Amino acid sequence: MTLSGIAKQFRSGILDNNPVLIQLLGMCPTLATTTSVANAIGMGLAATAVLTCSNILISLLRKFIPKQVRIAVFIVIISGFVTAVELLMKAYFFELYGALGLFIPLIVVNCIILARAEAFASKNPVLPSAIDGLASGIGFTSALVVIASVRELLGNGTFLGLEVLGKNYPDAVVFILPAGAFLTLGFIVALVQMLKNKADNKKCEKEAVAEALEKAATAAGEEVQA
Amino acid sequence: MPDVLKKNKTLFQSVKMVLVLFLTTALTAGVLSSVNSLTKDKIEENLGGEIRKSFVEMFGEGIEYQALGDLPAGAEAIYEITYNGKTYYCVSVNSSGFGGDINILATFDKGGRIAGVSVVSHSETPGIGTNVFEDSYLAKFRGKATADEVDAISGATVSSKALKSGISTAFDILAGAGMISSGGEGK
Repeated sequence: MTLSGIAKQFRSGILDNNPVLIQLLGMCPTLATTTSVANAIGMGLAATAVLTCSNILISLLRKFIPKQVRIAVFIVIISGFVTAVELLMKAYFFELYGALGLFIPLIVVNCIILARAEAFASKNPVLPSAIDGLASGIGFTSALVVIASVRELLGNGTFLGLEVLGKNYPDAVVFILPAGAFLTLGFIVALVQMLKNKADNKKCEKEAVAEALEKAATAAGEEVQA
Repeated sequence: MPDVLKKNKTLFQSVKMVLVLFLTTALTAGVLSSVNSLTKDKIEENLGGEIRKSFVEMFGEGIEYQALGDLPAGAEAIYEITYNGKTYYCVSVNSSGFGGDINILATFDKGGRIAGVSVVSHSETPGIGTNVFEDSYLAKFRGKATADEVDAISGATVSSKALKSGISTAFDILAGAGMISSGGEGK
């Protein structure tokens, strides 16, 4: 486990393979909890905690779990963690629980968690699995925060509950309503794809230029020889 | 490993399958029950504190309240509140909203006017239905004779209706028990 390997994993979880904006996983909590930035952060952190813990435990148990029942075992482990998080939140972060209450149990069916368990934690050692969970969790949280910032700012004129666009701003309520969630997500995904294509094109161009230069150099070399 | 199982690999595999699933479930249940017993008191305290906080917000410091027994149907709890020498009655009722039950505390004075409304727990959509539980909206009910005198919040129709019907139910319960005069509801 080298340092650059860890950095690569974080980069993959947060940017290159962002669970929400690139893989389009976990759409239910993404669309439902992004009505305010505070909710998005709460949901993101709760899911990150569950994701990291379940990745660690599943990676530890990966040699004992028979293939045929692995999905059932994963779900039992994940729902165990989710219930624990729900109880702890109710006991120690009562206000946040009041705001998110309904969505906490739904972390169980967040497919990012099952996807990471199945695709990564069940095949890799503990440390990379823990980092993978943490990286995907941060990727999930940051995507939620980006979407929620747009929705809260346009729909309510506030950011994290603070008045930003002034009292006279006519709230575009549609952004707070479910339709606004789809609109915002669609535009952000399109923007991400555009940036990604641009970066890919640049990479291709660079490669093409390098190839042409190499060709020219060999041709020049042949000429000299001749 | 016993010889019988060694000979019969498939049998061993199915037994292992069942055993692993059983053990995971049993262990998870065990861990959860201990988390539950660890957090139970704190959660109850939070909910109890929420009720006291609601009363203090409705009236102010120095209120006294006690829970009454003999609950009529539909009431989760009834509290008799004394504040500044006046007596108020508060009912805790459940009203079904968009995402599940909303637990409402509705307080009335003896004449049947609404003295205060607060919400203890709910499962409404954050950012939409929860607008109904903002203090500025709940404060509009204070001093009104019926819940219908306050307009619903647009975009949160179901939650608004649930809140109002909860308040009406609370009124009917108290009026039915003869604790408040039923004149306030305009009947």
